[in-house]
Amino acid sequence: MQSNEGMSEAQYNQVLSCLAELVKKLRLSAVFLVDSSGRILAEKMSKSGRIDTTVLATLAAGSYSAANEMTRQLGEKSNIKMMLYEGENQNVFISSVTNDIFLAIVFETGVALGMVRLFAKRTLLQLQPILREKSQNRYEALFDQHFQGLLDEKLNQSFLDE
Amino acid sequence: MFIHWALKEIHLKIVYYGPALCGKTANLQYIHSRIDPALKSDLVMLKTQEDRTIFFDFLQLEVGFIDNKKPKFNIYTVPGQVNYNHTRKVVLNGVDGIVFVADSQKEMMDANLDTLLDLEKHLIADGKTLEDFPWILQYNKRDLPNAESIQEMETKLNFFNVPHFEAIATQGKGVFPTVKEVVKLVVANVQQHLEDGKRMRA
Repeated sequence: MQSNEGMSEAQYNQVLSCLAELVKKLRLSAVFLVDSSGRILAEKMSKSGRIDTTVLATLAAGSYSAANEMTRQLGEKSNIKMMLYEGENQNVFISSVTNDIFLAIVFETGVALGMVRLFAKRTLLQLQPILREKSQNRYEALFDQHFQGLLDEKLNQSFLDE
Repeated sequence: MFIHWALKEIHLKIVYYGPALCGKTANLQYIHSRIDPALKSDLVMLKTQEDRTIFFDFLQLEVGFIDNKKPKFNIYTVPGQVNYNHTRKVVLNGVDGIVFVADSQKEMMDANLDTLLDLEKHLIADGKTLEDFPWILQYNKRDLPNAESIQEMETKLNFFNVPHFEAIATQGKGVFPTVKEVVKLVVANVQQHLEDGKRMRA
């Protein structure tokens, strides 16, 4: 099983602060930090943003992983650096942060792509040292003996008419 | 597995695997239709015009806080057609548990076996193996007249004696017990993994 050690609260707050600054500077619709399995590590939306980030992150991760697989087929040794989806009203710019993590930036077509690339690059340089720190969380306290039973109960309650 | 300590979330990835048209998507569609709307994401289905999965289906389930932690289950299916082998590898990235959906029709046994071996190859490439990875079997399409016997299905496919469930996914039969069991296995495996890690650090 692949285990991602996750971020500490301090790391998370630092990351969030970087993303918030980026959203504000470029008046973005949303920005989120995602791992290649589609899990959102942190996200920030503009006040008016109404985006289903769970679904978007999953789709972005699928695209990112597929693109990396394509480049491997072409003999490339490293991951892709960036991808761009251009829509009629909204664009998505994806930029690799580490081997396993990327930044997805959702912005309106009025925002200059050059500015997005420039500020994304600056944000990456801020994020990389934060993400390199090892979190010191206590894993052994994650599940206790009652967790399975409680989870079972919750699952039963979640399914309607079962 | 991903632990988001700040938000107290535990993200676990489950993949439904199996040959083409075995019922992987039908499982997810049924789960999506029966889950409390407050606890699920949209059902994402990336498919061709012929309704065949081309990349993956996706559904996120959450059950709220348990013991001050919020487990979230990200459930995917893979495309079953033979030519999508590389896509299946991409979808398997980061998987924590697998449901292998076998098509019970007699003539599909070779396809079941080929796909199971394909799965094993992908797991081995990632340093894992079916022998010690959390997975379960679902024998789907039990309502069809040409369905193979359970005994034969078990002999041919369940060489590691993993939990198995009979199902008719289009009717929802066996779907919920399957997902409950794989969730249980995945959580138990996570706990074991964490305890092993604790012993190594000690």
